[in-house]
Amino acid sequence: MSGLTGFHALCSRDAVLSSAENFILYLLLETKAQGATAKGRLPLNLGIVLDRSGSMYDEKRLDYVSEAIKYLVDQLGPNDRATVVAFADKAAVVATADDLQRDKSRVKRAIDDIDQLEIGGGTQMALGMEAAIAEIEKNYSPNRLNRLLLLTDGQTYEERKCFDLARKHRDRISCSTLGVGIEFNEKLLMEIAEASGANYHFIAEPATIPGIFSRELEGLRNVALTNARIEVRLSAGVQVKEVFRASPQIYPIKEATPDAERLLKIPLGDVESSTPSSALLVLVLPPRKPGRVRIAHAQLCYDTPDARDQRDDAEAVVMYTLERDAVGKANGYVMNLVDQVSIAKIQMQAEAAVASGNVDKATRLLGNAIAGTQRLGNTKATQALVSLQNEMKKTQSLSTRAAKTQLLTAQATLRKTQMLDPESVKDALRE
Amino acid sequence: MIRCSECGHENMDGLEYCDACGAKLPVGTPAEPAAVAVPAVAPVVAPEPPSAEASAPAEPAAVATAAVTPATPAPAPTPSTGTIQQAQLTILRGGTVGKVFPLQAGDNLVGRWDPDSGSFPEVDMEHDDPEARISRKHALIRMNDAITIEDIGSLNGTFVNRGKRLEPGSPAELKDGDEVIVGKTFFKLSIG
Repeated sequence: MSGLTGFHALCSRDAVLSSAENFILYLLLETKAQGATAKGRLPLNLGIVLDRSGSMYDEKRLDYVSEAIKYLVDQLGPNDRATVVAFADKAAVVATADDLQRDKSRVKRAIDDIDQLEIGGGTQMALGMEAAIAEIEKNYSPNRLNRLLLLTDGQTYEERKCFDLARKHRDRISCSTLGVGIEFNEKLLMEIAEASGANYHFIAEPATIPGIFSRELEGLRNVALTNARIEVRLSAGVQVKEVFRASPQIYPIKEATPDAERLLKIPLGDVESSTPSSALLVLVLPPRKPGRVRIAHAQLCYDTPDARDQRDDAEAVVMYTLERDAVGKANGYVMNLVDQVSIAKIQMQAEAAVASGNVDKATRLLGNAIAGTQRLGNTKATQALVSLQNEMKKTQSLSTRAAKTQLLTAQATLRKTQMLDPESVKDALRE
Repeated sequence: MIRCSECGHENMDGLEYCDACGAKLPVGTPAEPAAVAVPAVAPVVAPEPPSAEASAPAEPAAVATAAVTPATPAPAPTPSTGTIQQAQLTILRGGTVGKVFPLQAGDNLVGRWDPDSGSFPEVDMEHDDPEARISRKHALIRMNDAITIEDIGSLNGTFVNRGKRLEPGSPAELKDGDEVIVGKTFFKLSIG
């Protein structure tokens, strides 16, 4: 483990058989940063991007959003910067960072009047993102936490452009996304958040919007490392089957292919203190003769308020042995994350099966995902998956409102990592 | 391979969930350790688990006689009944003092991990040799019915009991308690 960041590598097994075939080993690369730094928390530089399309008037969504943003404005300190942008057919800057510096109560009145803006009723999210990014850039500093908060309840035009914007700016500005209701494109919002390692939130009940905003703000206040990524150099002969983000949210990392030097880069984005942030690699190991072998060398690269381009090392070493007795048990902490990641993946496979019209396969996959969430004791996810499976059997699709709600709930629940206390599972090694 | 009991899909050993249907796979009963396919393994060591305890005073007598036999450092291992079961190198100076490297039957490379060539020394000094006095491929220790050490073209040399620098290609025999110097690191060899 390395000091401030607690960066370490854990294999699912420390000893493996020198068998004749390739085999799978799971490698967890995890950081758990210690409390805030000496200089305290990073000042914020936020861009809040709000959907003000017609549907935002349903279920008083816009009212809850206004309440949430006014709360957030009240919480900002003298060193924080924030801008508020609303979009529909056009984008409008509701409040610049300067406005906020000058007069908070005027900004709050402007937020109350968002419904008066003459910007039409469509959903041009890319325009909203562009306007907010331009405002964030005015106050951009590597010594600030530069983040977009993107809230929408509908399908936007030009989805590709939204994703490209997030990707293009991800090294400077991270982007958390909040989807309200069931009409928005959850895949797009997830991918935008994943591009910079930030958070995706699903909001089924508009009344929970203020709570989710304040949780996001609390997370921002706790960020200890920014611009973090893991660089893994795999040893010769070791291949990567899959890479996942394993905490604090679970999702597959699609572009993780090692380069010619067998170097793999996994973006982590902003890392909150005391919250594990990790990647899980599914590795294919070659047969080897007995002996200690380094399968990978990993580095956590990050910035802190005090220093840029810091690097901490961790190594993954396994013992190849010919003795079955020496293989021992699997690491319970790693395997718990393997379970959570695998179940989230099975659920995604089920979605893909439905999309390609193979409902039988999807039902079977969901059945196995349910068995998994039951084993893990994740009641909320189990309930959502069971309702989803029933709905699917009944309607042979996922197109009903009920199915979509269950699907979004299951996705969001499976995505959120349930952390075990490493101490509690230290001895709970598994066969 | 593990065959999924639900859908019949063939999954790689060690996988927890079937790639095709998501069923939990039975805990790996991986293929038998297949010495045939694994290069340069002396299979003689495999079937004797009981002597894994630190206190195995039965062997040393046999080992000692084996070590005393005239040095005929045969590069081609001839697995015989007199094979040494256990030996280890312990760092005395110039590294993490007290760190132990157990030796494997057959060839043990002394050196530093080389990510580019994929060389994994059994005695990997990557962490104990910050000045890189030890070459990536420094020396070869062979453990069969005797233990020998051979310098394989190192920069800073290999020495036994503070004698002359070993000539590359000329193995020297090691006995229990011998001191080996590799680069600037001092080891002690213990057998049994």
